[in-house]
Amino acid sequence: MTPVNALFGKPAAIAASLALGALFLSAGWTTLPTRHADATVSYELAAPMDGMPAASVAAPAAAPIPVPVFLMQPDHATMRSGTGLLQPDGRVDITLFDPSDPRLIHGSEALMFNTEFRVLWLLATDEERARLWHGIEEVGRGLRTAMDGIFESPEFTGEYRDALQEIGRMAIEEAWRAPSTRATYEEFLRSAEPMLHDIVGRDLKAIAMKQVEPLVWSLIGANVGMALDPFRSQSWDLAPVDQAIDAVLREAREAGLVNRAARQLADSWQAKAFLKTFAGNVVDALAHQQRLRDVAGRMVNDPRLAAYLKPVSGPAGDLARLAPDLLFGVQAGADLNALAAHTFQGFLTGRGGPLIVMMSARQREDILTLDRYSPRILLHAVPQ
Amino acid sequence: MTQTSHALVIDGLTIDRPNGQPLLRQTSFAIDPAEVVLLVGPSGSGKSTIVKLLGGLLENGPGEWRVSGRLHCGGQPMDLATERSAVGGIVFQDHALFNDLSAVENLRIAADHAAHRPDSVLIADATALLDGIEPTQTVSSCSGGQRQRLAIARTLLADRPVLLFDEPNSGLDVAMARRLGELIRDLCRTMNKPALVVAHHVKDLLPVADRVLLFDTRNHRLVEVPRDAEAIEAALLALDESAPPNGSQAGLTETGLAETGLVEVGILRGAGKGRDWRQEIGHRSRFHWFLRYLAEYFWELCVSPLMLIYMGAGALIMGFVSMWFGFHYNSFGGYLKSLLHDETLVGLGLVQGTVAVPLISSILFVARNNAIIAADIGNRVLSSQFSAMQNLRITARGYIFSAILINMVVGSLILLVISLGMASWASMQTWHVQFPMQSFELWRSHFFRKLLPDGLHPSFSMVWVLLKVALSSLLAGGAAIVIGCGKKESVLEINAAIARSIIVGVTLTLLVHAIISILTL
Repeated sequence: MTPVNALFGKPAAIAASLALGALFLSAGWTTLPTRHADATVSYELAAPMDGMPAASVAAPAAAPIPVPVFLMQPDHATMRSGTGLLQPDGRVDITLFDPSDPRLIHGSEALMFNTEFRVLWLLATDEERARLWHGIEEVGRGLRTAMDGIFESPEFTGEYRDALQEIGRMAIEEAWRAPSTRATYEEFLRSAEPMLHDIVGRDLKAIAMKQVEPLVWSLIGANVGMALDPFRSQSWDLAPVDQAIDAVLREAREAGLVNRAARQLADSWQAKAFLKTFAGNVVDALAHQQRLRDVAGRMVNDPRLAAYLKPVSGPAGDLARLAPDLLFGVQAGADLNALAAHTFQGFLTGRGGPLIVMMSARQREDILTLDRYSPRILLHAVPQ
Repeated sequence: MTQTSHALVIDGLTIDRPNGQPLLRQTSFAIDPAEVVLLVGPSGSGKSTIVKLLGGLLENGPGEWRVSGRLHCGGQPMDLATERSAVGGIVFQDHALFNDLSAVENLRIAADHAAHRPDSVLIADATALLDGIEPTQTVSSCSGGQRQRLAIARTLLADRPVLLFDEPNSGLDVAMARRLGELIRDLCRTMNKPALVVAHHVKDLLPVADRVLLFDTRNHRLVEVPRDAEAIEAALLALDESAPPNGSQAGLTETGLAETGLVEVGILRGAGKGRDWRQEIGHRSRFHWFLRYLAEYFWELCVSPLMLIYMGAGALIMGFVSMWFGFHYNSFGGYLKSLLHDETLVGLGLVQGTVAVPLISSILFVARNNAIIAADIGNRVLSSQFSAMQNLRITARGYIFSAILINMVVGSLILLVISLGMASWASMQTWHVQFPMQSFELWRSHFFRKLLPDGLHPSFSMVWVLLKVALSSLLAGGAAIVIGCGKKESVLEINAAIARSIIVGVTLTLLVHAIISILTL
């Protein structure tokens, strides 16, 4: 017999059981997801901005897709505040978790992003970005100092530099001799001739022709006396020709003819194929060099060189702690950074998709100042 | 009135114990209608065995008692070697009342399962004994004398041709024992039924006995002895020289003298008129009794307030622990809880909903209920309630065992749902403590992502959850019944059965959950 039964009788015990059962079930019921809630607010995608790269915008899909909706608060902390449905026509119907949440007053405007880490950078505060930049610069400075120290160290110059230069030289020679390099090089040369011919025939000829007429008159002027002397013994004065050639070269240089020709050559697929093949063969040659592995292994394990990395290890450690702290909010006791969690999940799974961040007008302008292209502006629409 | 005027005739009765030792050899005796015969003999001589034989409770066959002989009691003679006697209605030594039923329900169930529906006269005769007892009174609240009368009335309502009393005066003082004897004599005469009274202490019952049979343990026979106390004592001493020569009744208890209630029972028919027991007894179908036991065990095993609090508390703790430690003590603890939040919630929801809560719920359910079942069944065995049910033609398997097993399955599923609800609620609140700025809906959308893929319908994996919870409860309940039904000689054996039942039940639960979880990985 239960205490309730004993104290108050069976009806009281039954009533207690019913009350407890109802209490437990209703508690469980409150945990179930909200279903079929109506859209609270609607937006529509603004037209893409001029000059926006096509790949940087989240294009509406053929079928409606769910989009997570976040709210950026005044301190730039983000919280998940609802779920949107991106319609094929670019309309976004948003169902807010709690439309009466007073924090939504800061979310009158909305931007749509692709789920990528860049979003976290854009949504960081100016102070956070400044701290991160400072950290990155410190790492860069430390890295330069460290590399300078290594390359100038007696340990490197005495034991590694000559060996590495020799290895590099051998790899380049090996790659140059490789049949595939030679084949692409020949192809490149063959393709270069028509291009050079075209440049000479069109651009250089025009410049040269401009000098021909003055040249003729200069030559006549310089040699007219000697031309009338039947016993002349001196050679022709050809100085005007040298001057004309100098003028042609100067004008061609001023017109960027050489640079243009070089760029034209470099832009050709034959040049790219040659460079890729050559570079690939260099890397292959390096990879097959047992000596390189030996030398690199000795360098990595050389405690004398490790001492030169000290300038970078401190800033790198600071940055490694600072970046997740600021961007992801990974601090013990910190509240959830729902946007970071979503971004990280999208990164891991490769299923990012679009996301919407609601914010104040001021925050939106600040973000668009940083990046005009990757966010898509959402305009208010009438809920349907 | 259903009255029999059949004599009981036993002819050539031979009984061998399960160990092969003889108990009786070619014994014959008869008891006439309205005759009260006292069966006396040394302790352990086998007097109660004869009562069990006549009441149909003696297990005979290979490895059991071996019986031969014939029984006549009206109708066709019965071959005791092959047929089970059903002539005797037994009033057990310890009353064997069904203590989960009220006083009137004890009578009602006997009447409803009698071979013939008791008529009003029989009911009046039986209920005449019940003066001073409230129909709704619980058995536990009845005094010793009231229980004795209730047990006799219940046996009368079963309407068997012969009344069998197994040491009815055991534990009674002299006055009570004599009044009980008068009651038995009056009943036999009024109902014209033969009565066999097994008694160890004979003096108090001798005045009401028509004849006395002595169990001759040396010659394995029943012999009639004079209705003389000294002669009987001398015969008993001769059979058992180690027994004390005198004062065998000196140990009779004085307790209960003031509460006997037997003082009024000398008058049959007309007593107990203060309450109309006939109407109270009424008639119920067997389906009613099935539902009665089903409801009784549903209450005890599933939905009593303590059970709900116990299961709810377990689920609350489970929900809190999984959510709190899931976020705080995973790799890198709180530092990654924000980064891995979404997937952590999904994982915790899946593990909690399909593994942790079902397992904890099952273990709590089985541990508690196996203890109750083993105790309940063990108590019924120890107090001869199952024997009484069998003697009253009440199928324990149909009512009690099926009610237990059905409630183990149904209750485990109901409490699983309640536990899942409570654990989810505790998880949600615990999560909110850790992330106070976030909306509950965020938790909902992630926590149930794999349990309710469309937010409404459970995933198919929940079928396996239901299966393992139901199967483990069914097996554990079955084990508890088997363990509870084992031989019980003392309360200590019930205690041991309870412990064994919990261990076996929980082990079975763990095994079922582990096997199904592995199979459905």
